[in-house]
Amino acid sequence: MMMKNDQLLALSESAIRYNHFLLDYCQTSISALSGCTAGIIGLTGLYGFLFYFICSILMSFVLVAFLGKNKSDYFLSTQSLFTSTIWSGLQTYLLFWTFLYGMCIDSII
Amino acid sequence: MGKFVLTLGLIGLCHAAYSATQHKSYMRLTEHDLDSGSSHISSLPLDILVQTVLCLFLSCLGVIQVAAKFKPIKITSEWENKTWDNVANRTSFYSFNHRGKFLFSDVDSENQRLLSNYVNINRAENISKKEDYSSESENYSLDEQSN
Amino acid sequence: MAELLLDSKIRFWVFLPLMAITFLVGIIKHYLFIFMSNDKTVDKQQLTDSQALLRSRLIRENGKYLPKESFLMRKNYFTNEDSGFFVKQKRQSTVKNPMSDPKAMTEMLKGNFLNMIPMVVIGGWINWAYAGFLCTKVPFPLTFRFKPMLQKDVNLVSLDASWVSSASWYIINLFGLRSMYNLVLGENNAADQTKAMQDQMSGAALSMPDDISKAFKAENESLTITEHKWLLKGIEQSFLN
Repeated sequence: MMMKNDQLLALSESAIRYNHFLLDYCQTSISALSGCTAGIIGLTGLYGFLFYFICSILMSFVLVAFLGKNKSDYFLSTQSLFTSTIWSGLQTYLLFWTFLYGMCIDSII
Repeated sequence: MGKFVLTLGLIGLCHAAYSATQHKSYMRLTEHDLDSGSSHISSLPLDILVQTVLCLFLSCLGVIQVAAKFKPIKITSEWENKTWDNVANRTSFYSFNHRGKFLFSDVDSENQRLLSNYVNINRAENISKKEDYSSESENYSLDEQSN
Repeated sequence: MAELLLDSKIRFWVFLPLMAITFLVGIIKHYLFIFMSNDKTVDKQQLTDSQALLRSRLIRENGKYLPKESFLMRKNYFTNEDSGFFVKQKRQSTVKNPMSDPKAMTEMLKGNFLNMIPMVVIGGWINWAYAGFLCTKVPFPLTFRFKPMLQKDVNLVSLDASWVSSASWYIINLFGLRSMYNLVLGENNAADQTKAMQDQMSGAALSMPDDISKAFKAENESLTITEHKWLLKGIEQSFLN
């Protein structure tokens, strides 16, 4: 439980942590999926990284649309939806990108 | 609904991956892509490309619908369906040293113990007074207690 | 440089199995850990001590809401020079030696066992069985500084740095799949979280200080120097106005 001083709003810390956990969950799945996609369509170099950031931001927009008007009930700031987990998914993205890229690379049969 | 969309997206992604491999091996066999090896964006046909991106979007939607069941962070909404007994239950204010100890203890054995104490005290007193009447007064006191 | 082509058998017999093995070993490790870990038991003495410490801290922090007599009464109970709780209670200062405590020893051993054995055994086995393959190519160019990291076991000077050898692919998986465990075993993790919350509620998860007598002494001092400051002074007036 924590208090926000300016308007004396009581917040449940466990709910905040749970929400962040869910956000992380979404981010990880999106990075894995977008990594797969990038591998399949064979993006290389800078394009792949760009693709990750585009996907990640797109997911945030979808989340914002999904939560609709009452997103302030669930998160303190809308900005945290976009920025808080964007770096944590990069590792997963790289792994899946490499994996699917390796699977779809042309090779001698 | 979310699960269905997610499954659809995943299956579509798998299918797209398979078709991509097939296409590449086909291109390899027909010696076709020797000229396009250096380009950054791959030489996949458009339908596979569209399918991949579409399935990514579908599975994104599915994941968000399945996973994003957020909890409201305001403490009031959490307490709305709790009774006052639950909210006011503080471990720091527990008190175990109260009358319940006697209410729920084994009554008979407790009485027995008190009684024997009483008898011992009486006996000691009587011994100090007069040894002859000790047995009688003991009986008496016992009767009084049991009544 | 001429384009290298990999045999597709490498893909199906090295590249894919390595990822599957890493993933499954991680999951098995998780369930073994659940299976082998048992609940911590706290003995009564420790619980009493930690609750006393907690209570003293609460008095220090929130004593301003108590009337002066009540605060002094509580303070006296803990810090009286003759009969105070912190003065009277003499705990032998046992900084627990984990070697002498068989329970802690087995716990430690189990944790080490579960972390070390798969690392050594699986890592060794993979090094033995899958040594010296080139698995895949990372889809972005890398400088030559990454060569020792990505191309373990393959010492080819002229090879492009973005090729990945099998041993390195295993290591990349080992680190990269961590968040995937979160995804797959997410429900368990959530359960752990709620369990920790419950412990917090019942006060069982209080961190036990190693040296209880030292903690008592410190708490005694800090409570002794705490002055009572009545925060609710004139509260009736401010309520009325």
